[in-house]
Amino acid sequence: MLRSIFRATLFFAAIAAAGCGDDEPEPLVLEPPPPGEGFQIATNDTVVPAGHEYQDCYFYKISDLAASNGLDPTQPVNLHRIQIAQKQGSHHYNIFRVRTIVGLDPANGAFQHAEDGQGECFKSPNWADWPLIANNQNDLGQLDWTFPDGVANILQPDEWIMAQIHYVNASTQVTPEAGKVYANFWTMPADQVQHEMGTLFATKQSIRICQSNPTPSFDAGCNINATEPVHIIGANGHFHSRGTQFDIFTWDGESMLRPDDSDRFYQSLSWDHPPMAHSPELDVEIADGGGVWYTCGYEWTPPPVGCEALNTRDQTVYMTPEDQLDCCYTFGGVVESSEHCNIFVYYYPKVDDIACF
Amino acid sequence: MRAAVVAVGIVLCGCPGGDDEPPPDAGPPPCALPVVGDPADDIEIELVVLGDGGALDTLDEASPMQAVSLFKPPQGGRVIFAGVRARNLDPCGVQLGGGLRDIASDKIVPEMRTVNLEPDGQGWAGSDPADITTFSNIAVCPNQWSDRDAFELPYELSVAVRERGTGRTAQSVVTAVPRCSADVSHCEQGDAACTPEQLVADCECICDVDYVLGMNCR
Repeated sequence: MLRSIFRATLFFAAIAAAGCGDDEPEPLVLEPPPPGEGFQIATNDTVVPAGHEYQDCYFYKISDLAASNGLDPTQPVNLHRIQIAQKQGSHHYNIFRVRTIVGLDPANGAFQHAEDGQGECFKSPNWADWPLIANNQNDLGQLDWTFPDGVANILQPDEWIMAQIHYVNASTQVTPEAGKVYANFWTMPADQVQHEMGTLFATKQSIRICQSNPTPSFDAGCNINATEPVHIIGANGHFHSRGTQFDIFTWDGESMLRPDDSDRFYQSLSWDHPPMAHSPELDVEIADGGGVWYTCGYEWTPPPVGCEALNTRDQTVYMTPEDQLDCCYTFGGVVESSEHCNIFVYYYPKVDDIACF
Repeated sequence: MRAAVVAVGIVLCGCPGGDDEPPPDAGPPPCALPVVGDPADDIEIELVVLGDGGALDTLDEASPMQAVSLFKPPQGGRVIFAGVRARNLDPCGVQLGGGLRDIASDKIVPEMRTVNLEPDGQGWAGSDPADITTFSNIAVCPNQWSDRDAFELPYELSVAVRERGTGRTAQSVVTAVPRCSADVSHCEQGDAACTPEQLVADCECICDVDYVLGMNCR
């Protein structure tokens, strides 16, 4: 297997060097796959001024990426191993397949920048039906995940993909030096593919964490709609600094009740370093007709930007009447002033890529 | 019409911190809404949904085939905003659950959240039509869950509440027909493509039983 033959070398020296006084941080390096075994994508070196948040969208065509490192550009890419390495300050890194074009269009450039909540790369409806490929939510993060034998996420040559990076250099997170992310896509031969991987992305956008309702939780169930059992082999959750507990459970697809703790297969108690659970440690079977249930729990804290800023946003974005302003964090990509409740799940065999929102 | 109180066996689960008082050092003023009705009596609820034009429609457990609107929420897709009017409970920190069940397959789309119900001054408290976060946002479409089209066919719609602290519950279940709304009031500001005709066409595409994520609906 590829994983037994090749091991890329990771140097997370930048992470280790953080807080080391005047020492010059060593560069973050992720060696690309050898020719014919995959390809690498990388962000620009991105300096984020203090007090700001950048969200950048990078577009790639699969056939171009395949051709860039010795793969046949006319054939599908059978993604079997994903590696992501990112420097501190990288709030999230998500890779999606491009589908319906709304406000984000690869025709407008391979690199599209957004700042402080403004710009198309910050507007989640733009990628509402873009299936998930891979993600990493850990700001000191690295991911090196080889899928189970015979499992591949199949990307077609004519597909565009979008890699989105969010850097935060503010009070809740910092980006002490230029941000940078590398991602390696390792492939497997088509004749070794036994199961196609599917993904599930869910988000809750009508959320509200307020002074007078300071410890809310939000739950939902997402059906995979399979006619045979499927295996969950990867999962993580994402929320911002008011998030206290993130749980994901197996679910029968028919109950309105939150599943028992014994059905929980993922938990995050760390908003900025959420674990990424994946195979081989994670391999949970979901019965046919079932799915996953997720829960985001929050605790309101005084906003670093002040209540007036939150209330102003609440009025302008959600038209909330004056008498209902309550220093509420609402849905949004800006970490300092808004919240998220997202899950990313990977499974096989694929029924469809799933959006649950 | 008010739905009958159902002292259901359903117990909406506790949530992280859901039953807890705010931490003493957290600073926020606690929810100061008064108890509505008589807490010694069973909780009574009515199932309400957000209708077109911001109307609050009360659904009757005894009436079949009541239409409910499928709205485009901020994130895209289509949701039913299902809420309650309730009395004889503490309206603070109520766990509100909602679900739409395919009566053919028994599959359900559930959603649950912690809300403060707004007293109406007449002994009841409820979901506020001016605030969609006080409703259960039941994510019906994209339809990747039902074995049938998720519009113009009968489904079972339910809501349930669980009182903070006591754990007392009540539930209401109705038969409802999801219908694609042409109401643009829930569209994102500046979304030029959000016209009544397009809303309905997109809705009927993504709510179709054969919808595949990312397929071209236009």
